[in-house]
Amino acid sequence: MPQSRPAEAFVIRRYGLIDKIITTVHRLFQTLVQSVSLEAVVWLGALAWLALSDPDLSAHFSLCPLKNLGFAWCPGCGLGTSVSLAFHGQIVESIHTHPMGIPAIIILVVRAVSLLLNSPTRFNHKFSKHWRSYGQRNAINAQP
Amino acid sequence: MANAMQLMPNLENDEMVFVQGLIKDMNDNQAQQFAAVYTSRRKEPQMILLTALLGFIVIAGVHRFILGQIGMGFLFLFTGGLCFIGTIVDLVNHKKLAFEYNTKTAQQVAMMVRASN
Repeated sequence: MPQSRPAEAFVIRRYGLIDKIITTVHRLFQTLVQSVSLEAVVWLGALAWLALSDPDLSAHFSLCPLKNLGFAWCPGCGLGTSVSLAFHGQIVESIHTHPMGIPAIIILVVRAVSLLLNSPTRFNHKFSKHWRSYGQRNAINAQP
Repeated sequence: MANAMQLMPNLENDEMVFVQGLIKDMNDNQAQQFAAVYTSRRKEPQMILLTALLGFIVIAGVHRFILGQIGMGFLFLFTGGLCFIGTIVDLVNHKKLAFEYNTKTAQQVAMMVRASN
């Protein structure tokens, strides 16, 4: 019994360390996911991608789920190109491609900013300490 | 001390925690008034899910109008839910959308109840 104990202890200690690392990474990831709204990340990420990609290539249209299903047209066809054109300064072409392109940029940015500023009040206190929601939360809790 | 679980048993888990934090200092009368007003004004996550699913069949963006986001509603309406991508994002995110709306509503209702009593 005493001979086998060091090996077991080593194994346990090693797995304990790995376990601890995994738990820590998972917890950090959870905090990150909970603190930053998924929706805001998706909208801003999509806008950034369209701003960085070349509108004339239009290779990103292969991502459209409707087109992959075999439909030839949907009300949103050309929106990605339109947004991309607007980011590259070609306003007239953007409006011709899809009239909602420029409104889409404004609406999505407003929505993402409002999400990031007024993110859920009590479940992301770690990162939102200095944001506006923190003061609101305290004001509500302080009321008699 | 008011108990949210007894007054409003149909709330979601995180919503229940939030509401309990809001009503913990209210007296019984205030808490009952809060429960009556809040349960009539809150949105079920299931309703958000179903109206978002409408975007695949009939018309997209109904859930955004229901949640009071008129700009996003029109954007979804005129672009077919951003070519289904926005609709899929909202299907994944429907609980958070409902929670966001419900926490705002709960705060407003709590302020109203405190002001009227």
